[in-house]
Amino acid sequence: MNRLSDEALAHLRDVTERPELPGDRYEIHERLGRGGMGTVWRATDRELARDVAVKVMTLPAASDRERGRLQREAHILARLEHPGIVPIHDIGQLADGRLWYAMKLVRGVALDRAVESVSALPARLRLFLRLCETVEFAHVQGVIHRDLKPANVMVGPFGEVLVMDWGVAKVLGEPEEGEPAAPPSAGAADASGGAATDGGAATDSTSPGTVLGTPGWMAPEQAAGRAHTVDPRADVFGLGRILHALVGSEPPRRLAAIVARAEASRPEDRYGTASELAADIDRFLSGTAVSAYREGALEKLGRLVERHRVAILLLLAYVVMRSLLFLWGDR
Amino acid sequence: MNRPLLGVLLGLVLGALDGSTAWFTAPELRPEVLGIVFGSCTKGLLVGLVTGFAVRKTGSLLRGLVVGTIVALAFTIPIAIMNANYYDNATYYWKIILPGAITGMLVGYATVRYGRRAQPRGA
Ligand SMILES: Nc1ncnc2c1ncn2[C@@H]1O[C@H](COP(=O)(O)OP(=O)(O)OP(=O)(O)O)[C@@H](O)[C@H]1O
Repeated sequence: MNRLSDEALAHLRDVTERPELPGDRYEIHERLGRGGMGTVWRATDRELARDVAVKVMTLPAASDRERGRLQREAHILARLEHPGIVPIHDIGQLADGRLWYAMKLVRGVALDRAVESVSALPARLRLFLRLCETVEFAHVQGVIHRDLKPANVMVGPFGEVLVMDWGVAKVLGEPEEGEPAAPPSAGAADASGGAATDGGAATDSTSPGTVLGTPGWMAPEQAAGRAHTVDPRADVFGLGRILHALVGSEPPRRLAAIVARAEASRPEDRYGTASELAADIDRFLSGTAVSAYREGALEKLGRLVERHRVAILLLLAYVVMRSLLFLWGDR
Repeated sequence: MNRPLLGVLLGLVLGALDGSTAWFTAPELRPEVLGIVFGSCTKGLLVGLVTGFAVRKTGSLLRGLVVGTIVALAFTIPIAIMNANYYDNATYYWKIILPGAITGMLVGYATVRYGRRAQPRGA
């Protein structure tokens, strides 16, 4: 009974908050989610007869800064044409002044949920490699995401990996108008300790306001209020945190070293780029030496044996068989 | 290195090694060991070439193993039968077939694992 009425309430709220897009091209359906600055709705594009996702600013009276953020997010999506980034289809303004844009509807689940059904480490790492590729692409285009976390990465039904939520991204070389760089409350420099985004309340979404990013996932230099000066290594940190979450509590030593380097507190101790991080993961996967870990002679031997296991076993089988033939062949 | 070439090189090397073991495993054949090594190299070369060519596009190591074994057996069994009849010594079946099969597996596996995969046509 209670549940029903909750559902009914939610439905009522959906209906009343449902935005009226100008023209009759888009038919808005249910709400897909709500973020820091916008609400995302499933909609049908009648002209092209396909479903899309429409992100609409939540508040009509939103500040110029929020408008600017949504607009910038739309422009960044338009600029970043890549299979790992949702393409934007359309942009406009509601009668009440709210901005909206239409994008590809992603039918997937967030990375943290997606990996629940992927237990094999190599498969998880291959998903992570795709994420690195997309982030590297954005960096090459001069865009730093600044809010990488599992909730902002969607995995599609065919294993496609999409990086979402470019709302706090930084475009290198472009001034960031109106973005404050106020230092957060005490302890915020410790990114893993739950830095505050908005007046001390640690939340899991990117609050519009003081520090840009999500506590626990953003790089220390970003948490310290230097979001404007960050470089691609801030995203390498975010990737490192995601990797940390993907590899479980007891990863192999070489992998643990890769994680540690990626999420090092000082930017200069991290990988310089997402592709350097990806290259080390690739090396780990193929059983070659990784740059983040200096192995001893025995470890190296163990790794080589592991890597060429089957060939070594076949050679051994050959030697054993030859020895047996030699010993007993004429009996 | 492409797979047929890798197969040929592996076949030659393994064939040479396998042939020279006759010095120890069949002392009665020592006077003929050069001929045996030559024959074994030729067999290895052909097995490597055929296997490397047959698996040039596959991504499956198991397929490499199976193809290598079958090709090696196809070359080895007739040789084993001829030798066993010629020398009237049934142990030659095993002395030739078993090593042949394992080296075939090794060639098949190694060409897929370490050789460069050929791109499918049009790719
Ligand atoms: N293209 C899309 N297709 C399907 N669902 C989407 C799409 N974009 C966003 N969503 C859903 O809408 C939710 C809100 O997304 P949005 O990008 O506004 O913010 P967020 O990432 O949740 O938060 P924040 O911007 O505060 O970091 C997401 O969690 C996601 O579930």
